Amino acid sequence: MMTTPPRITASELVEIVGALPGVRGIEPGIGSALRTIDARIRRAGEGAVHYGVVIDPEGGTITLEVGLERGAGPVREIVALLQRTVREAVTGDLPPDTVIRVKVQSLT
Amino acid sequence: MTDDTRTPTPEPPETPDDPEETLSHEATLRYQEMIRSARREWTQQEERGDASVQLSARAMDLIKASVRAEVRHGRQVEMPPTPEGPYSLSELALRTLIRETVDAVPGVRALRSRVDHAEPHGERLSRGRPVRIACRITASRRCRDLPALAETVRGAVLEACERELDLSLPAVDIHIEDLHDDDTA
Repeated sequence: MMTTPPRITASELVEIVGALPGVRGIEPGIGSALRTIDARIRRAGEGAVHYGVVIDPEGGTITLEVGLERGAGPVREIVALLQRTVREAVTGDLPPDTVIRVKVQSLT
Repeated sequence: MTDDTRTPTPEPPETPDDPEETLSHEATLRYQEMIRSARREWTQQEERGDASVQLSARAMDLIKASVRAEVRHGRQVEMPPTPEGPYSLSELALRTLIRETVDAVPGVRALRSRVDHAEPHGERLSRGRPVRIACRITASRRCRDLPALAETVRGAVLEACERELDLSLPAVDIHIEDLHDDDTA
């Protein structure tokens, strides 16, 4: 069964995540970078993937790859804030049990 | 004339007996065929003057940078989830946390650290939660009680893991590898 694409885009989530205190920036790994370029070339699913942010409605997950700021607070608290903020942003777009998975790539 | 006429597709090698090795073998053959097919298609497009096959310089730079970043980050290390969901830390980020914690102890400089992990439960290639951290350090020559200094470092690493990551470690090993003069460390 096809899942309806969410209205919120990965690009919009990048803006939301990047504005949070303690988040230094989006820091994609090779996987999400290649998926972003692939989506651009194919002109398909561009809204669901952006460097460092992957929305997977069928898998019920959102994956965020970020670099955090050292000294801005405990890592797990910044991560929890990030997850809470993203969950609120996608409320109504995605099921409430959507898993928000965070990958902390660096602390600088 | 395309390259394909010069380099015909080779015969696939024999399939191994082991089922797991067979799967890997089949994946390798599929990958090789995919590369051959892409090369054929791209060569033909280029011969027709079709530029769509070319990635922009910006996209190429991004791919190269993300490969370098991937190597720098290392694997993802599973952490206890927050109340909001799962998260992981790259090996790079974990090493940064350990190094800065050790360096913050007066009279101590971090040299290297090694982390032993539990079995991973999450994504392929991720590492499980840390179960033991071994820190190699250098201590100030002025220190008169090295065992106490090692205990301070151990406590600092344990406390940082608990505070920052909600991670209770069963073991932190400290090895004083060298002594340094305070002004040269």
